[in-house]
Amino acid sequence: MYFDTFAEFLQMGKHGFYVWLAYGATGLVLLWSWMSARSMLAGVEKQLTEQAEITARGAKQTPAHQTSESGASDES
Amino acid sequence: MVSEALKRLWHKLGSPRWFFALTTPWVTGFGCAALILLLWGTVWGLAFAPADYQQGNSFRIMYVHVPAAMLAQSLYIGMGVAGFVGLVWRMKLADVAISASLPLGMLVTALALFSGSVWGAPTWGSWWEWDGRTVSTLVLFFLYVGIFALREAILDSTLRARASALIAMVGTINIPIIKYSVEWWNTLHQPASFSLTEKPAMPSEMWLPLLVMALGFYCFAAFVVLLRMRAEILQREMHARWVMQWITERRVA
Repeated sequence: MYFDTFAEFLQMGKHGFYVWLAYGATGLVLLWSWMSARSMLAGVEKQLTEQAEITARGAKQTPAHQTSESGASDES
Repeated sequence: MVSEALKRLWHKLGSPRWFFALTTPWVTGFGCAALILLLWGTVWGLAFAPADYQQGNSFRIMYVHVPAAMLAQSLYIGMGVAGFVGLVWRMKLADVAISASLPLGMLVTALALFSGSVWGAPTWGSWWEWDGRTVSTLVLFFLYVGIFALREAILDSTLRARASALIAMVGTINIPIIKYSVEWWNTLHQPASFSLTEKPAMPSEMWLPLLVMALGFYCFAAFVVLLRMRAEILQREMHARWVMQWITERRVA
């Protein structure tokens, strides 16, 4: 550990403001990038699930179209 | 033999379905590696590395500034290569890669500029200098913003892919300008901290945390770009049978 006390660590000599500002911005950028990518994937998955449910329901109402190879129509 | 295998790989790479299956285990791998490396590098750089004898503790900004700037340029080069592949071979995945790299590239470029500005304030005594490297990085930022705006504006997907591929490709001219800016113009910005051929001028307890942080940033980029590419592939292939099968298996699991 380079610093002797926690207070010294926070102060960073006289550069505490600059160091924590830069690291804070980095944390925000990384966190936002991760969250937005995750929510994009979650959004598409939700959309796909709804689509699969509609297909499954449609297949149940018209049994003539039901095929065993399609995964969606096998769903109950 | 080898050329045959390469040719097969090239054809497979054009298939979004193959890419999606291939990268499934990679996402977790890159995500975990990024988390570990970034935490490790941050603690090391902030609390354990010795302060610079001239700059004091403000030099610790280097551990986020340099990796952000490296990533900003690497992601752009990646987009340029994808643009070339997309234009020459009409590979669908190329446009997926461009659209997935854009948001992160734009943000890290902004971060490189911002952290540089915050570092410059106590070191150069000014928040902004019209220095060769800051200006060429600002141009990089505008290139990202330009492609982003263009993609929002063009509705036709083929035209959108071609236009963004072209700008991504042409814009790579700016990358060597950023790289050599510190040599061509005698400016305030310090020369490269890292190079592949020479030993760093810093002692190892100062540059090792930087190496860890840089690796962490690259793993993070791979993680986020893969997540976005996979979402984009599912979106574009929404009605393909393999996507329907994938979502059904996922719902059951």
